[in-house]
Amino acid sequence: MLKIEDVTFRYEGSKRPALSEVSLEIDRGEFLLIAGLSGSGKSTLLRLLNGLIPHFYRGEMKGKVLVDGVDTREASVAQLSKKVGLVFQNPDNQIVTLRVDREIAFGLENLGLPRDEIVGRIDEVLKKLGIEHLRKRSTAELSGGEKQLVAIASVLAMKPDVIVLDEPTSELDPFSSARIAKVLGNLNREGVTVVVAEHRLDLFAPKANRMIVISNGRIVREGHPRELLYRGDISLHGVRPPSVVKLARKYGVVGAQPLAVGELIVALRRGVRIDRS
Amino acid sequence: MIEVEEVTFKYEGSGINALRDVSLELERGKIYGIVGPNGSGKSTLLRLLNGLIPHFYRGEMKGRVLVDGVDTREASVAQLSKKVGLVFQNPEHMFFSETVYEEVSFGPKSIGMDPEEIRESVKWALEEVGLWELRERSPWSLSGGEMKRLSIACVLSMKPEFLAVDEPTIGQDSLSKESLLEIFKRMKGEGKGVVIVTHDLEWLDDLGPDLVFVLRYGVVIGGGDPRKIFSDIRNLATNGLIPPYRYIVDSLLEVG
Repeated sequence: MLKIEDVTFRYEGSKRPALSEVSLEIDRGEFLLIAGLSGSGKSTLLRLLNGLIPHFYRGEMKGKVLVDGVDTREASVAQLSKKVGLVFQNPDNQIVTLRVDREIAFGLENLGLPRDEIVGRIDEVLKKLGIEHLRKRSTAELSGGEKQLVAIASVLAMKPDVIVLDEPTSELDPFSSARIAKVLGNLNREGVTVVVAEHRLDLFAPKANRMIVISNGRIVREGHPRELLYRGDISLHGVRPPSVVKLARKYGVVGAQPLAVGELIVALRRGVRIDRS
Repeated sequence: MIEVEEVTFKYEGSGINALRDVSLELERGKIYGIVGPNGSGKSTLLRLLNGLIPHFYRGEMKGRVLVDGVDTREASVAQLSKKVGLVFQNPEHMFFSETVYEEVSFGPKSIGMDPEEIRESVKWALEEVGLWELRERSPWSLSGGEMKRLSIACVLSMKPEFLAVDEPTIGQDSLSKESLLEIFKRMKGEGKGVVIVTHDLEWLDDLGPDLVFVLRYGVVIGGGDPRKIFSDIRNLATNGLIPPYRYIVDSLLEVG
């Protein structure tokens, strides 16, 4: 559905390319986790997916990006936004209206949808994200986590095929972060394709079915998160396995490759039982 | 030593106390963790330590804060900044110099250090955080982790004896979080008192604090050995905190 073909991109004024010879295919229904240090090229990759590169960010681009077969250079960002919705790091920078329902309506009005349809979609996304109680709230008084949920709701209301998130939890506390990860996991189970760049591997790796590691503008690892995080050599690229992986090693249950705490506990209990018998 | 004595503080215009009857003592050569949910008063507590409260933030304050025996109300913020350096959550919002070196020199100049001392302390601060090689660069050309370390150097250059840091790991990648661990451990080793406000208990556990305080609704509801605090899973969870994973696993295994 999304196809990046041998893309090299250098921002105007920069000497080094931000991405080099990157190729990636993302299929419908995937939950793709993108890991890598700050400055490795994660955001640049995400900006390619909805046409922000090359439409808004200037620079020199080689290769091409296809969204449902359409070259992003030939489509407008407005057209692409119906297919690929992007949520940014800092929720404060994304909220443009004063009330939650208006915030969600904003993008829909710009699509020129009829009123009934807009109201229906607002109901639907608020319910889907479990934030019906926020409907009439002032956006200014939301917590960081609530703001980020509203930003996700605004993007989801446009019914994009893919939701792309750039470090959605980096400004949030751990509980709000866990909630975002849970919400994205649920959306994915309902069929939404999710692409997320994150440092919080502990929260997102258990939800993802595919993971890539980016280093110096190149995709250096690709595979299932279990496989990548238990292979250990991703540390070379500055990506550290989450604590659950370290604990699984410590307790000798790497065979089960647990990623979530619950999986680790199950593996440990099984391990203990086997030892006793 | 910093002594916070029964402090209650209410911001002007607010109906509730941001802190209530808070008392604690902080010593040099130790690392302290201050944890708690959003709005529990963690940042307010930091602002008390270097006199920003009551000098900059208006409100109603009861009790007192003594830094090496001096009441913060009787000392200027400039004087206090030599004792207690405060690093904000997003200090990069305040960078304004053309080079890293100038940025770090600003604090010492503004508190009137002499030029020789400034040169020496700026070099020391930049070396402490590993940015000496980048001193001629623009602060804006730095990575997120380098900016965070620059903001720490800006405070270190005033040679404070206590370093108080608000949410250092927010938005930081794993390498940056590791280098912050090293920096704070080294500070402790050099005899400084390090006070860290954070939600990130996993990282705080790696840092190995000497003492952890838990805040809720402006009240210190717990304080003590990190092992004791971190293993109280239920208490942490009800306060919006996720305990370090190894403690979660230990507790679940005990129950099972």
